[in-house]
Amino acid sequence: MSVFMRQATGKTTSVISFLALIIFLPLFIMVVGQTITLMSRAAGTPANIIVDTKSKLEVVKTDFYHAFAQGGEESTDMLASIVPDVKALKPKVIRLDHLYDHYDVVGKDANGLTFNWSKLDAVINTITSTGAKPVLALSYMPGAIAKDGNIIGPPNDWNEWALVVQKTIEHYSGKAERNMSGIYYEVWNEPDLAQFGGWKLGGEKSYLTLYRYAATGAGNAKNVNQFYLGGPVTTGLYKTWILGLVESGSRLDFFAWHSYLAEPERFATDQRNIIQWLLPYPNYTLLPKLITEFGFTGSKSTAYGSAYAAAHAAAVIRQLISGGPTYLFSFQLKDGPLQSDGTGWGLITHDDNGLRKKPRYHVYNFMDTMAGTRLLLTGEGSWVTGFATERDDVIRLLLVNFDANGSHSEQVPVQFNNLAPGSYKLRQRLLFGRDTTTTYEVTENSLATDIFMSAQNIAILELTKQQQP
Amino acid sequence: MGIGMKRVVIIVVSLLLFLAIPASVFLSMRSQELRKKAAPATTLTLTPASVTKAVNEDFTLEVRMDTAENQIVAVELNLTFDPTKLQAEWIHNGTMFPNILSSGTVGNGTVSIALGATNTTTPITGTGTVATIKFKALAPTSSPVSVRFSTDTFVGALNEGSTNALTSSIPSAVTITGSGASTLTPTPTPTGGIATTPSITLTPTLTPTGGASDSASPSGVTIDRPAKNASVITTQPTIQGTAPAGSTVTITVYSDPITVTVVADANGNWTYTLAQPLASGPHTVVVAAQDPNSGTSHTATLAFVVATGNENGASGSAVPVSGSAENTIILLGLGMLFIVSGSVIPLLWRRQV
Repeated sequence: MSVFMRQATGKTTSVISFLALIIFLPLFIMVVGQTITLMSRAAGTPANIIVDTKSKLEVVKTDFYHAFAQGGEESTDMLASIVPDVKALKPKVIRLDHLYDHYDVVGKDANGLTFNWSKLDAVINTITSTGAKPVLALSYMPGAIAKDGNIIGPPNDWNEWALVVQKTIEHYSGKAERNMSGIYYEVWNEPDLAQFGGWKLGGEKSYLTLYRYAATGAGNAKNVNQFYLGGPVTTGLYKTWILGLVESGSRLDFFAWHSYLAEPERFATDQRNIIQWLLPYPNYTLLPKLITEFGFTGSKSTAYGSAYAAAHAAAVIRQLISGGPTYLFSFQLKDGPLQSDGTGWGLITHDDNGLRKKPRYHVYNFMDTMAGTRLLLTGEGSWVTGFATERDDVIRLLLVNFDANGSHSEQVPVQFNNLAPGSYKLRQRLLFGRDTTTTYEVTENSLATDIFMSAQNIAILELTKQQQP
Repeated sequence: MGIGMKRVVIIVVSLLLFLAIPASVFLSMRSQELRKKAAPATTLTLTPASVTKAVNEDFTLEVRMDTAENQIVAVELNLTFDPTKLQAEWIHNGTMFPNILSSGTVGNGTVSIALGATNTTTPITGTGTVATIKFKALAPTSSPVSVRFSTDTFVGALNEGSTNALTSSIPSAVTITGSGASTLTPTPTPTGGIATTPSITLTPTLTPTGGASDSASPSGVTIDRPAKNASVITTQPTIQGTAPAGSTVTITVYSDPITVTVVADANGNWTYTLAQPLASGPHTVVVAAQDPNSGTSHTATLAFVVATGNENGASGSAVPVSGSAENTIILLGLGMLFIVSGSVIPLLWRRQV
């Protein structure tokens, strides 16, 4: 070292110091970042759940999360091979996009536009055979009318786009045709995304123009049942897009957007935000709100095949169980092809990968157990959240342990207050794990226990008072 | 144009401006009055208007609305309070607003919720309870602390556009006395030969038995009416429930203890209507009974609110929502006057020079 020090010039020392700084500074920043992350995670609040069994709130809705979306990774009837499995999910609505670029609906001849519904009808029939109503994303621009054949851009003639929308609504909502009622029609899919056109709120490629002509078409539809037209179906909830649509003056029956957010609390924040934005527009505040795709990331991820995705879905549903949207669509029902690496968004793997159900598939019906009147619950933590209900004299508590960053587990104290004295059976059911029942004797008005929540797990505790002999 | 003509034009323009200012003020005030007539005052009131509690005691406040003639579709409640003195435990919608638009949130010194009508074809009118909030008293206060609506509380009404239909709100004053009342330990005055000192505790006494048990404890007492945390609109509510048949039931109503005894009938039912009026605000009922057969004592407790709209002592806290334009118009007028003076007087001065 001393030899080096003697031989090194001041300039060499400076260069070496500079290089060392360049190399070690990013490492230092990374280490600091990791440390902060670990510290902040460690600083989270553990749950200490208290249920007031006599404080009854509103009736819990369970329909809103029985909504599913299917992307267009294949231009075929993707759901045809999984109808029984989809039916078992008791879907209320199933969303479909790529209407005009996958199913050869719109053509053009010397007399004008022609419409062939046969392929799309087959897909819609599959959806209705599961017990669900279709939600139709009016997308993308039919090749027959698209400017320069670009299906994610404007048409040559906006009136032709209006006519396409009119004919679509007349076909599915028309009393003389498919005669469906209460169908939601979304204008486009993720217009803000470059992949789907990168539309703006003004300029030559204005979503408001696209929407306005869609609304014109909807207005021209004759002899139709009640239907709903809405947007902006953006990749997230954006104030400028929501208010831009409101202030456009076009017909607007519902709001729709997508949410790919790892933090479940953000979903509740979005609900608060949109209501706050719409309060100065009283005629729009109460319109239905549809999150027509949701997940923890918009990218493909192997986590979609793990308990992580299941816990995330349950944690999001918990956040929206009170004051939530009209529908929350899980994206998506089935993986696309060539996703044997397990990165697909589907609840069920593709035909070429065994049509296997992934953990998230089991969440929806499991959570239906919670139907009933919501009870007051306090003491949710940073990772473990939940809600409680009462139905038919059975008190139920749902707990979900979702850790967006890792594998946090927790021993959760649980207390049921304001119980009548007597003998109670407490059943603990984990979605991925044990199912045990214990009997407790309650001599005062409270029952306390605890439950170990492993990482990314969901539990339902059922408390039933035993009848007197 | 000659100098004389220019001077005439300047004078005419100045006169027009001077006439225009009061005319504008007059028309604006007329417009404001018309708007006020079109949008009568919707008010929010926290009730009871004043509360006195001991440290660690819980209490509830009701948010009540009078829509006046407005047709309300949605309301966002944002309330603030001193977090060193009070802790909000929860907020929930009342019967007036069935539709929870975004769930209640409780923060450090804040509590909020957004509620709506079912749809715009059935807007909400009249008076009623918008929401109920439960608080815990944390520390003694030297003077009353207020729970009040923050200025971003918003009431949306049909035909009001983006105007906040809320014109005023009334806070609640909370006084917290020193510690010592963290638990309710009633000392009833039994008159029917029952010797029991019921104590209320949340400490569970559990005996896990690992299987079905046939050693169920005997049924105790219940308070079935009023409902827990319910608002009653009479100052002399009826309290009823069940107890072991034939047992003497001691009923104590706090915070100024009123103690009476009744006897449960052969079916175990008991009832009592208060003979003296209760003050407006939250109250707690403690019921104690002893099973005449087993000698076992039972207690039950329940909180309810007498909501008779006694807002005496409340200090009105107007939320500047619809607002008044008079001051702004006067200031604008003065500003214009100065601008005109600044433009015309130097011009006239130069001409004279």
